[in-house]
Parts: sequence; structure tokens; C-alpha cells
Amino acid sequence: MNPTILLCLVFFVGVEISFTSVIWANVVIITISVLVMLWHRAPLLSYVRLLLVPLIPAVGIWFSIRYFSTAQSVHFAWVMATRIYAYAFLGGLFTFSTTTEKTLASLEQNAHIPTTFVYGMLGAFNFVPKIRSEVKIIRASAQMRGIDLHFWSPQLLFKSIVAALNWSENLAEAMTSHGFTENAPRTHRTVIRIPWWNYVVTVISIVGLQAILFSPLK
Amino acid sequence: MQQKAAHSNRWHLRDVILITITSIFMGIIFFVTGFLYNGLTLALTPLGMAPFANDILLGLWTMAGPLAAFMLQKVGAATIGELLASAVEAIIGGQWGPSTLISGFVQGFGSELGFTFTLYRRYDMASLSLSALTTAIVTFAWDLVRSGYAAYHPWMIVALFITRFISMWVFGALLVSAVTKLLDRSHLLDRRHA
Amino acid sequence: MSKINLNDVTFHYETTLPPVIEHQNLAFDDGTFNLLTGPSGTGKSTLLKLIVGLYPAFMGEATGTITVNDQPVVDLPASKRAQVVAMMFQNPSQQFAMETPRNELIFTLENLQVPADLMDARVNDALTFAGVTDFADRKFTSLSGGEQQKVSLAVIVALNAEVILLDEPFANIDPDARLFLLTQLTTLVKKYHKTIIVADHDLSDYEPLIDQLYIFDGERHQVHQADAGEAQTRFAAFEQRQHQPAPIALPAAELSPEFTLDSFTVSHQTPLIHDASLNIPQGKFVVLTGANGTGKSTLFDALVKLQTYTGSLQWQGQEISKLRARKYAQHVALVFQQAASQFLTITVAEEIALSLKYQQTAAWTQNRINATLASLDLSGRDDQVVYSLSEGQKKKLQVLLMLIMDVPTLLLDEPLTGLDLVSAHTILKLLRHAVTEEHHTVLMITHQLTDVSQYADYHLHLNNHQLSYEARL
Repeated sequence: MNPTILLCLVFFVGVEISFTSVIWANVVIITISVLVMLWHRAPLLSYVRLLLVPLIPAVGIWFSIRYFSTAQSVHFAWVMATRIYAYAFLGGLFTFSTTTEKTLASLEQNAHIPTTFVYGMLGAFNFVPKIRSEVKIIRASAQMRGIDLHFWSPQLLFKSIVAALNWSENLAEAMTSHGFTENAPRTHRTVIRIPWWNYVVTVISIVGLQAILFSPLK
Repeated sequence: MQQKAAHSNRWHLRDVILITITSIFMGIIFFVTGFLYNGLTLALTPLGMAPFANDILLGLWTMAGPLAAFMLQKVGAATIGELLASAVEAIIGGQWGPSTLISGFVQGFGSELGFTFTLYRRYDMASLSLSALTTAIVTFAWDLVRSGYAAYHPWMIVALFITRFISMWVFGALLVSAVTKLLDRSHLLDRRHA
Repeated sequence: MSKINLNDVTFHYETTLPPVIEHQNLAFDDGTFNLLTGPSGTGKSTLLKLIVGLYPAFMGEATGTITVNDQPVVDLPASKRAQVVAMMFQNPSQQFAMETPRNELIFTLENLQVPADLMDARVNDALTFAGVTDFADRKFTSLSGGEQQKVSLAVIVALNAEVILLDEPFANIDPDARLFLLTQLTTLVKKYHKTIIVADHDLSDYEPLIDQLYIFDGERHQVHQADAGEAQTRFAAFEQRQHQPAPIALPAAELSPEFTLDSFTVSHQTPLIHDASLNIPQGKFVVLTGANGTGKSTLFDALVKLQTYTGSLQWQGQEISKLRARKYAQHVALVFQQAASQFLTITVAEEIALSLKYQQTAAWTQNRINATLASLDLSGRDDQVVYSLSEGQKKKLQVLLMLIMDVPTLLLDEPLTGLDLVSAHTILKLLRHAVTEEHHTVLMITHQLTDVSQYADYHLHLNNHQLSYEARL
């Protein structure tokens, strides 16, 4: 599916299940997500991760609702626990349906997000390995001066921002000299379209979700 | 060559790159707090107090908004800054995928209000504290619905809110203010055109 | 006919600061290869960024006009300007927005609004010309500095700009890549009639290639075109300043080792040191040399636990990868190549106070520090923000801060870059003193070799993936 359409759909579903309390809907969302991930041949490890990572918060909230909610409702405890899993699996569904590059390209071409944001972010992501090593360098050089920096030390964040200022200046200048003009029209080697069936899937998904959420049989 | 133009609220390329890189830095620096969160949640679960783990640390995850507001001093900087930070989190393998973006927007909007109420004229401890308060209120309202906080006993709701505000004040006001004091004194932001 | 014209150009970074360039009038001719030289930190980079139109858009304030083809550069939108003036930047890794070379070229052509069906041919031509085809789809983060500068050349070729500016483009790249790039640049001038300006402090290999030499005079904040005589004198002086090696001792086998390498292998983006086995002696002053990009800094990173390696690397008989970082940092410390990496506070006085607070011995007193500050020409700067110091001043302060710490073993990565000869001697004297009087171990990477043999004990050389001691320095 087109990443922009899929993103909108995922947002819509995520927000709607936040405002409703139907366990069954959460379970269906998780099942559909797993099916989509299977279709995209997601590696086994990603299912394990999606099962394990939300486990602690899901169990945590189950107990706290069970003990400390006014109704002490088992039903609502399960709503919250499955909701956390539904969020996680919606994330998995999206992650395995597309890539970051495709998503950003689609947001540029289909959602018309300003190019300054699209390419600014893309450019910044090239710095991830440099950022990892810079954090190590900042910590190491502080240790060599007798100081341990922790995640709450203002100096650690300050030195990070000093590096970020430098790099952002250099990259922005280089991108400008590569012809990038903020929010100016560009051509596209790969044009991203929205196939008609995307809309059909979106409408069916939303209607289906309403049927589950508001069906008298729940 | 007119270069002393009025302060602009437009986001330039280097602003986007700056805030994104800063957010990646914060993501990497605060990575350890993921374990802290899980440890705290595990410890509090048998007591039924797990949501406190979230509220104790939430201030860390909402720092990007006030920090961006401070660094760029633009209308909307807190909202967009936090939204960029949540996009970074979602892309670099955060736990919640696109739903991170929704939280990011809510948090950013909350931080923004603090600066809106001071008409974007004050960037000091007062506006940071106000911003911590508005962030706590807005995100808490969202969690009443999304995280089912509304179902708790009133005393628990009050305790959660106080915990959250303290966290946001410590990280979003106290720590951000310490960092921006260093930035101000270094004059490194002065050379940039708005 | 002149291609580029500067007409009474003055530039300040901030109105309160003195100008970097003042009342500059200058012309560069069409289809020529020009070299711009001068001490580092004078403003060569600033001048290029003015011509390419990045300044004052990004920074500073300028008056006067700069034209290319008689058109003011500031009047052109970035996508048009890029097709007239292009630039290769000093930091190879900080000039690309996309993940791979091919995507960067496509990004560039999309910016110029080139129709999609014309892109691939133009991309492939540029990749071929710059010798990038083999790694066109690899991630930038896996490419060496030399490979990244080749990609930068590919982008410039794809832009098909008439004027090409290069800002210290060879600072971090290996000699082979440098030679290749110089050859291709010459082709661009001779065959495609491009106009090129390279800013470089290192004059080697340029004399037969260039048409004009321009010299930046930092005192007058102006550039002037050297006439034939002056150019010849400059090149001759540079050749003479080229280092004349002097004999130096080889370490005796019975010296107790500070570091021991055994089948030590390390790579960073490309394989660097292979299967090295030797000792680095304790209580000596060892100088490490080698061409750019051979892996000297990576060896230092491995020595301070910032880089993984295979084989064995020991400090006083203990494997470095197994040591606790915090304790180890009290025995072995690195003076980073980027001076600013070492700073933690804001002003000079605060930095010194911090080092005094955490120093390991009381060897450095406030009096000794004041005297040393004076000898390094750093007196009276107590309240200055460290980030506003010149690069040379940052280096001197950085070395002093680490000397005050009084760590037994000090690694220094290019501590002499950008220093005048007097300051370089002062730093070398301080290091020698630390070795002779305080029995510290010093290992120093340097490109600047003038008179270093007077102070050093041994010379370690890295060449062709191998480390060995040399009898000359």
C-alpha cells in the first residue's frame, strides 16, 4: 500500500481504539497485523520482539487497573493490555509494509509535506553512526578530564548540541550547493502513485472497524 | 545584501537538521532509560503501580519540545520539535511505531502552550516551568483516555499527575534550562540567522 | 575574460567582530586552474563560501558584489546557482543528504528539475568520471574520506557547474585519492573549460597544474594574485620548508613496554593496520607518522577503547578491550584531533579550573600555569569563550589542559596543526619536559615534522598497513 495512505489508516485506527474499549477490536487488529507481516515475510525475530517488548507495560497496566481502578474491572484491564499490543502490532504492520525512504518520499509527493522537512530529516539520519561515536567521544574525553557524564548531565547534552550545530550547518550548506532550494518544486526519478485499491482497502478497514466497535453483539 | 531581516518563524533546512540530529543524540543518550523504565515497571507491577514508571520518566521524552523552542525561538518550534523527535524515535526503532507520532504531537502541543501563554517573548525558567505544567496537563488529559487513567481512584489520578509534573519540571525545565544556559554563554547560536 | 569578479567585498561574521575580508577586489579568469593559499584560519574558506553564495545567506554580513558571468550570485536561487558554481567541502562525511552515492546524485538532479528520463545517463556518466561506479550503491557511512570526496566530485560533474570551488578538500584523504582527484580536476579545466579554485595550505604537486596562485594575507584581510616571480618564490619556499629528515635512535629491545601489539589488526571503513606486532616503550617520546587516511587516529582510538580490533593490544600487560574505561582513563588519555572535543565548560579560566580540580598530582601550580599560558601567548584570555578561540589557540589550550591533568601516558593526535613555529616549539618543550622530568610516556601523531627530531626519542611509521620504527625523522 502507499505509505501515506497506510500511515493515515494506522493513525485513524490507533486514535479510534484509544477512545473505545472493545477487546475484540484489539485482537482483530493484532491478527490482521500479523497476517500482513506474514505476507511481507517479516523475520521470526520481529514477532518475538513485538510480543516481548510490550509485555512489561501490558502486564503492569493490567495489574494497576485490576487493583486501583474504581471499578476494578477485569474487562477493562484486558482492554488496556490488548490495546498496548494493538499499538505495537500496528507499528509492526507499518514497519514491514514500507521503508523509511519510501515513507518520506511518499509524504513528499503524496502528502505534500514541505521538502525542507523531508530532506532535512533524511540528511540528519546519515549522522546516526557519527552520533553514536560522538556520544562515546564526549564521554571518554570527559573521563580523561576526570569527569563522569550521565544521561542527566547538562554538559553531555550541551556538547551534543555543539556537534549538532556544526554538522547541521555543514550539511545544510552542502545540500544547498547541491541545488536544494527550500520547498521549491523538484522532479522525481521515481513517481509514487496511489493505486485505486488502496482507497477500497482503507474504506473496508474503517467500515469493518466500526462494525466491530459498535456492533450490538460485542 | 540585506541580512538583518526580522526574526522569521519559518523552519529552514538547517533548523530541521539541527533539531533532528539533537533528537537522535537524545535518543542515544536516553537509550539506557529504556532499561530503567522496564526495571521500574517490573518493580512496581506487583504493587499495581506500574503507570508511575511511565510518569517518573516521561519528562525525559518531552524535553525535545522545550529545547527546540529555546534553541529556535519560533512559533510552533516546541510542537514541530517534539514531532520530529517522535519521528526519530519511530524510525530508529522505537517501540510503538506510528503511534509514537500521535504522542509526539500531543506532547509538543502541550509544551507549545507554555510558550504561547508567554506570547513567545520569554525564554527563561518561568516560561519553561509554565511549559512543563501545560505539557503535564495536556499529556495527562490524553492519558486519561488512551492509557485508561480515568478509571483509577481519584487519589491515584492526583498522585500520577503530581509525579508527571515533577518529572516534566525536573527534565523539561531544570535540565533544559541548565543546557540552554551553557548554550547562551557559549554564544554559538548567535551567528545563525533566524 | 574574467569569469568571477569581486567588487569591494567586505565580510564580517558579526558586526562587532573585525572583518575577515575587507574591500576585496579580485578576478578569476575563465577556464583556469587557480590555487588559493595562506595560513589556516585566515578566511580562504570564507571567500569560497561567499563566491558560492552560501555566505551571507547562512552566516555573517557582507557588502559589495560578487558576480559570476557578470551576474550577482546572491540573485540566483540555489537550484540555478548550483549549475553555475559548485563546491567540494572540507569535511567529506558532512556533505551528503542521501544514504548512497547514486541516490545523492539523483537527489541533486531532482533539485535541478532534470526530467526523470534524462537522469540515469547523467548519473552514470558522472559516476564513471569520478571513479565511483564500484561503490555507487554502498552506504556513505561505509566509505572512506577519499571515496566520499570522489562522490563529491561526481555530484559536481552531474551539476555540470562552470565554476568549481574546493575548500581544503584533501585534508583527510589518502594520497592516491588526492592524486586521482587532481588529475580529474585538470581534465575538467583542459577538456571541459571549467574554472577551478582550490583552497589549500599544502602546495605540493600543484606547481605544474595551476594557472594562477592567489595568496590570502591574514593581516590585511585581503587576497592578491601572485605574479610569476612571487609564485615561484612561494613554491620554492614551500619545497625548502619540506622536511629534511635527521637521524633518530631505534628503540632497544630491553625497554619496558607501555603498549604491546601482537597480531594487531584494525579497520575503519577500510582495512587499516594489518597483523602488527611491536612494543611502544614506556617513559619515552614517540612520534607516529604516516600518510592521511592510513589509520593513525584509528590506532589511537583503539588505544583508548573507542575502536574495536582483533588480535592483541595490551597496556602494561593487560588487554585494553578488557579494561574498565573509567580507571584506564586515569592512566592513558588522548588529546583529540578536534580540540573542541576536549572542552567541557565555557571560558578559558573555567577550563583551567576544571583541570586543576581533577589533576592527579600537584605538579602544575597556578603559577606554573600562568607562566605557561604566557609562553603560549594565551594570557589575558581568562573570560574568553573557548569556542571563540582560533583553531591554533584551541589546540594550545587543549594540550595545556591535558598536561595539567598529569596523566602518566598521553596520546596526542596532531597537536601542532595550525601552530606557528614558536608555539610548536613551546608545546614540544612541554612534552619533552613531561617525559624527561616526570617520566611520562608521550605518543604523538604529527604531519608537521620541522625540528620534531630535537625533542622525540623514537619515530614510528605507518605505511602499507604496517607499523615500524624508522631510523630517521
